[in-house]
Amino acid sequence: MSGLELTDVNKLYGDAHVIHDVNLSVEPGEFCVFVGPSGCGKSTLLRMIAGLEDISQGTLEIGGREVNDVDPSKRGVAMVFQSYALYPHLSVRENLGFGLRFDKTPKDEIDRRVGAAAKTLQLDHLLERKPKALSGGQRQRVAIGRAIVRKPEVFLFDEPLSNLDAELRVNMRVEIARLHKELGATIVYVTHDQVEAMTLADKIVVLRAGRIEQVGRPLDLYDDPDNIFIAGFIGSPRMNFLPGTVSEASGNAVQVRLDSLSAEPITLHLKDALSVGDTVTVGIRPEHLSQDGPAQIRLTTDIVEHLGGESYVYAHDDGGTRLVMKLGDAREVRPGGQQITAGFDPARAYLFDADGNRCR
Amino acid sequence: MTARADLVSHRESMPESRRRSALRRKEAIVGYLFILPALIGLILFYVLPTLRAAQISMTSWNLMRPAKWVGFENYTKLWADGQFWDSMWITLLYVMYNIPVQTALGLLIAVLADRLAKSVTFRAVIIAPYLISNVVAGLVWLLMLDPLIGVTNSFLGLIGIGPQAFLSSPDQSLVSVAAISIWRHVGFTALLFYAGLQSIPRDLYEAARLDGASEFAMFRLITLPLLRPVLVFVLVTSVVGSFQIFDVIAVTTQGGPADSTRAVLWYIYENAFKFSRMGYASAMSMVLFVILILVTLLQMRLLRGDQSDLG
Ligand SMILES: Nc1ncnc2c1ncn2[C@@H]1O[C@H](COP(=O)(O)OP(=O)(O)OP(=O)(O)O)[C@@H](O)[C@H]1O
Ligand SMILES: [Mg+2]
Repeated sequence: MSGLELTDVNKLYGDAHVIHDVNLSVEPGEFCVFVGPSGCGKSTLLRMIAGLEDISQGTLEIGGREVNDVDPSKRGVAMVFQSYALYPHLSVRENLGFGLRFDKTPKDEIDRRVGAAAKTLQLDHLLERKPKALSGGQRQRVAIGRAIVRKPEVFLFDEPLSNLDAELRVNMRVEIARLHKELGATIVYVTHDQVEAMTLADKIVVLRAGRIEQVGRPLDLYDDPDNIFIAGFIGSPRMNFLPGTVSEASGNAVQVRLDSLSAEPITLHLKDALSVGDTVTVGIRPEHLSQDGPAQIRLTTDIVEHLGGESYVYAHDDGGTRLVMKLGDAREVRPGGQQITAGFDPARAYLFDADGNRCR
Repeated sequence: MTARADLVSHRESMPESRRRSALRRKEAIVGYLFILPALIGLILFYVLPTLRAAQISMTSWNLMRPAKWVGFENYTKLWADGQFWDSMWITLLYVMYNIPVQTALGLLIAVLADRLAKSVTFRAVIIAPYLISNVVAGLVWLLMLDPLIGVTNSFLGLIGIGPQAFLSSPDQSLVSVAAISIWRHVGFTALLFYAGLQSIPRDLYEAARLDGASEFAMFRLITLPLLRPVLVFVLVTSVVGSFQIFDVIAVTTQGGPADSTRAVLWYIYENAFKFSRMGYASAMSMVLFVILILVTLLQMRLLRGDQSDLG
């Protein structure tokens, strides 16, 4: 089991600078998830760790050893591809054992490890099948099994569940979490599904446009985002953002007047200094909006989604800003034009300056 | 009610299965319409001439006098004709020079192009000889391989190899013809392989690389098995094609020297158009036709050419 250390890592494709000064350490045994919008460089970073892409600048250490110039097969990593990359002409057994034939593993050792992996992943009865004759979830398990038999120091996953249907995805998510516990291995996992990120990760790395925006434990990112991007990215449905202006600033209390005509100014207590006239954004999570509360905004409903145990009310304020409320029970709320009041506790609101940085 | 509306309402009243089979029949008609032009060409230029040849092969006909029905006489004569079997043997030798080299070289070029240089210019250059006709290729090489005035011997001289007779020596003539044909066809073969390689997903190679597979291991364990359908296509078409070697021989050696390049098609041609034995030539064509069908079936069978692991 080894950790990873990325220092000032950059990636350039000709003139295109796609990874900027990434510094990151992943502890041994840690489950580290890269999330971020499409094209932000998650796969590129993962492939650089695997050795499938060169590192243009910076260093990568695996288990304390610099591996920038080490062959991919000698880095102690195994990768699970989004497409599974199973060899279509080989049986499940041959697929599982494929990686072992190159490092002179004895035949009976290969058989033993393939058997063990097949058992862990419940593939025993499928060993003689070709990938074509497997379901999506079974293929996924073979792909994971192929990584397991190599006993790598670090597992790399690139969006492994994105080709599965919703139910299977949940099952496999649990499976992967269980596997992590069992093997105790270091895992770097790429996804753009933030539920996967929140549920699986010990550590989430949020990337945007090739840069790390924030690193932290799932709930830390959720409770304490550094900027408006993280605040909006982590959490579903996403955080509500209301534009406003600082109307009074005295000591560590600022008063913010929301652009929404119907709302009273709210008072927040901050350490950071702001001055009167600064434009700010107030962020409130959907679950922190209720039908009453110290601060209130008048809203007009658009759509109501009833999920059974909870409901999402989509609405807009007088200024046209759209908001989502998460309510335990919204049976009385009618969609399409009902006037309602959304209340919240200003202490639970987040404040962001004009640049999107968090004011604490 | 218009006829069309009538049709629609009638269709709606049909039970589901019958409606579906009607639909399938309609699709089949459209399908046949699409292949019709090719089908007409095939019938006109391949099927009918073949049937006619089968008919002629049962006659004695010298183009001057009317054909005379002789039954299987041509075939029994052919069975005993040592020259025919010699020409078959020469053809087989030619195929054995031609196919392995052309296929291996084509595969090598394709793999190199795929792994190293994905350049359009390169592909254009390797395909260029294929755009020249066999006759022109034959003529060009006839000049270049000329023992006295050809450039090939001049080049060989530069690297210390003495002049070679090439097409004018019975020992080298067949190999030289094969070489010309390889030169002309290898680019096309390579291009077919190259296209086949594009259908193999890249991440299979990446996964193998992470597993520590060498380039050669990847070729042997991934490329070759997944290229099998293309390989079969290339082998079948090029084997059938090279059994029918004719035009290069016609412009270079004319079957000589000392009958060393008298391949079966050249022998058929001689019989038909030099000796005016149309019936006999047709009988030989029919035998070649049957042999080629058998060879093709055998190849398909051995290489499981109808099954792909991809997709
Ligand atoms: N070979 C290349 N040449 C130039 N730019 C590239 C190359 N490969 C990737 N990029 C760019 O690098 C950026 C990051 O790509 P990457 O595939 O890592 O994104 P990603 O975060 O994995 O996205 P997704 O969620 O869609 O998979 C993208 O803007 C992409 O266009
Ligand atoms: Mg990606």
